[in-house]
Amino acid sequence: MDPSDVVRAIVQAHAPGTTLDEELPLGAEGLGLDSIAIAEVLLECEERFGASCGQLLESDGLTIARLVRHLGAAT
Amino acid sequence: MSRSILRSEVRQNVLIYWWVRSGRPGLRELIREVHVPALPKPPLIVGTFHLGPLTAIGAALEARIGPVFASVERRRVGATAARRERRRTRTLYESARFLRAGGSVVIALDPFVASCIRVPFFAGTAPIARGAFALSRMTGAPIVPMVARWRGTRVELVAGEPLVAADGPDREYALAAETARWLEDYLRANPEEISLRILGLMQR
Repeated sequence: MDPSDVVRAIVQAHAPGTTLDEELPLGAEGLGLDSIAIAEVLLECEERFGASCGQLLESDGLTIARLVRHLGAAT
Repeated sequence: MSRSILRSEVRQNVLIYWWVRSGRPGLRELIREVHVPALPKPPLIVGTFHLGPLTAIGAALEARIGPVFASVERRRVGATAARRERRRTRTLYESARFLRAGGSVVIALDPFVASCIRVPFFAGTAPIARGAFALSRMTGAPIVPMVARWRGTRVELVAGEPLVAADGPDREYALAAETARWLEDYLRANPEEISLRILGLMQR
């Protein structure tokens, strides 16, 4: 399965009914996930890909595209 | 009730005065005199409230149960909503990792802004922050409700029984309601401990 599809599936599980745009932030100003859901997305991605995602929280604007790029580079 | 709160606020200011007059002893110096109740083995999620010497909890527990991650939420002037959200996300993410590594977490259940669960509290309802209960769901760690209180110049920690809930859609609500019930029982037994922050929680 393509990493992008895996990440999309994880995000979709936390945002049911939302149309996913890979360039929109995951948070309230984008896909509408709260801090708990975003933390869960990152933890699930870590488990799935075996790569730490903590550094993605050092700057604003976490998107699906950024998460996929990070996981692709880390694995 | 209002007399209790006034007494509590006056006492807090007297203690601050005493602390300044005593040469501002460090926290670790003060918490040599902490009474910590018996606790189960880590990982634990210590759910606390803004009552008494809150900041003593993390340091006091660390000396007894090993590594403790204590998150502190500060209001920062000029912080955007996105930045506040990112900070909360990072705290939850690091807390979950810390718990999975066998450590314990201290987390306030009455924060300024957060995703909340409304549960019965005294005659009405109050918003309790979801973070601790979500962490319990993610990691399986029990919630231990705990508050700190002054006894003279000594700090005493008071803890409830560890709370766990069965898997299910109402798991977080069940834990939050149980925690609020514990706090209500504690405040009914110790009305002098009610703080302005908790009074605000009761009125929200």
